[in-house]
Amino acid sequence: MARLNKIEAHLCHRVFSASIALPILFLFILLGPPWLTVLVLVITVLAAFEYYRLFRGTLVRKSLVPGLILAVAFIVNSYFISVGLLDEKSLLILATVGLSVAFIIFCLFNRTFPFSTGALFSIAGPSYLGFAMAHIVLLRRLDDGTQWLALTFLIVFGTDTAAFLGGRKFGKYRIAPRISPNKTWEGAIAGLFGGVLVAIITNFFIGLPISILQIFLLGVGASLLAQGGDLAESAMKRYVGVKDTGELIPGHGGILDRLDSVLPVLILVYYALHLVVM
Amino acid sequence: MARIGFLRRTTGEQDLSKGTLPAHVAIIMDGNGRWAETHHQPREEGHRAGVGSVRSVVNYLAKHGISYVTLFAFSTENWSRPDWEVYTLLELLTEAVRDETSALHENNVKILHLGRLDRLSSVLQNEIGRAIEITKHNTGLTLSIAFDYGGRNEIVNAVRRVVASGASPSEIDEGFFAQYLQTTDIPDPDLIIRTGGESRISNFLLWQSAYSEFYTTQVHWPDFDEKEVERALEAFQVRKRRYGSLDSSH
Repeated sequence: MARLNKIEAHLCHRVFSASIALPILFLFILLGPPWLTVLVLVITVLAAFEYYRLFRGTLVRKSLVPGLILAVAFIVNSYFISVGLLDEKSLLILATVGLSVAFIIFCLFNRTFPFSTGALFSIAGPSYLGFAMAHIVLLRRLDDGTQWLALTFLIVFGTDTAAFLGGRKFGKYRIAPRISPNKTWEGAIAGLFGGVLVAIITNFFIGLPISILQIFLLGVGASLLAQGGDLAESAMKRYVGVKDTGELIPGHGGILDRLDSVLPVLILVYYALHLVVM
Repeated sequence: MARIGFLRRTTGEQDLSKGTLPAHVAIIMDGNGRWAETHHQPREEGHRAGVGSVRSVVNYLAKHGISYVTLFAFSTENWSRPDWEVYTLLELLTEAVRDETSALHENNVKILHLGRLDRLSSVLQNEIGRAIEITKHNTGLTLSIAFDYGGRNEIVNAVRRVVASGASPSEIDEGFFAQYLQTTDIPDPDLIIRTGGESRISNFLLWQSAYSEFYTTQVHWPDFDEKEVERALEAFQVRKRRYGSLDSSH
């Protein structure tokens, strides 16, 4: 038997991890807020630990406990919203107040160099993670919550897969060789097509109350953000000099590597919905 | 045995006064990162502790009448470190120059910079320029900071300037060439200290180190205190420097 080359092995790995992770995720989405919240909480905490692992050997790591508290606070807040104890606006209030308090604490106690990026990675990183993950719970709470979540994850999955396959087949011109040597413009365009296509096909089956133009635009925005999130994580790893994220779950790569493209799309889908549909 | 140890622990100043001291001490400050690792601290803390060492070592050398001190803070190759660490070092140097210049000026220290300035941030360029300007008439210790310095880079730049000057091949000799190096106003280092356990020159003062005594120690730079400098100076004093000729006592 011919041995799988590295790219094929990588593809198998991706498809395999997606084929396990996606059904589990959808199962929890169907089970509803309490179970979903627990899953979101666990993933967020694991991702936060992995995030701080990237910063091993830097002062950013010292903000692990406050960062973890901040990230978890967003998830807990989203649960209170989903059971009707708190208003939806409380998440944005938490974001504003939480970031402000964190920044004051950072200025008082921190000696990180470089200061600006130290503040960014210590405070904004874990907040972004918790804030974005909270929108899984918030999206679930909507009338068509399960469908919206399914759409979100499928667009990201479609973009990711199409970008990978397209890049492999046509890839020539690199987007950012210094940040991520394997990403090409051809792959990015393929990812965009893949994301939009999956958005339209998925909506054909689940029938969300939006027009074809709206789903097209959502697909474009989500696909671009997914790829942007992916690139941003690579840039961050590059900045701190880490080549691979840790493997928190053996054989599954980094959780952050899976989440990086999902996080911005969650935020986009939720607020696009608020602006356009509701 | 303990007695011998006790006897050997005479105070440094008496010991050092007996022999010749180096006029120019150059230091490769290595081991900040490893110091941080062994102390379970972030690397930034290692570099920050390193700044503390600079302060005490320079004070000590000034007190003992050393005329020239050159510190290797950042090489032309260090840019390939992760951006995080590069910016940490840039910001630490900016802060150090900003905070220490007035104290150095009061102690009659003259500050110089070796290496390239053009790749540093404009804030750092200004701070360095200001420090050099303020201290340029001082007559005490000359402190050269090698930041974004590489020995080969310096030599290549000197060659460029020699060629640009239109000098004829016959008039170029070692003395002529040395005038085109950045260290033209500084004597060659008598003693090069490298902390952190490595025994490499690492592109530091390639031309100038031809006959420098080399002293390496396992001690990481943040732990390199006054006792350690004293030890290095003592080691220098027992060396016989022959500059390629035979020792006069033979």
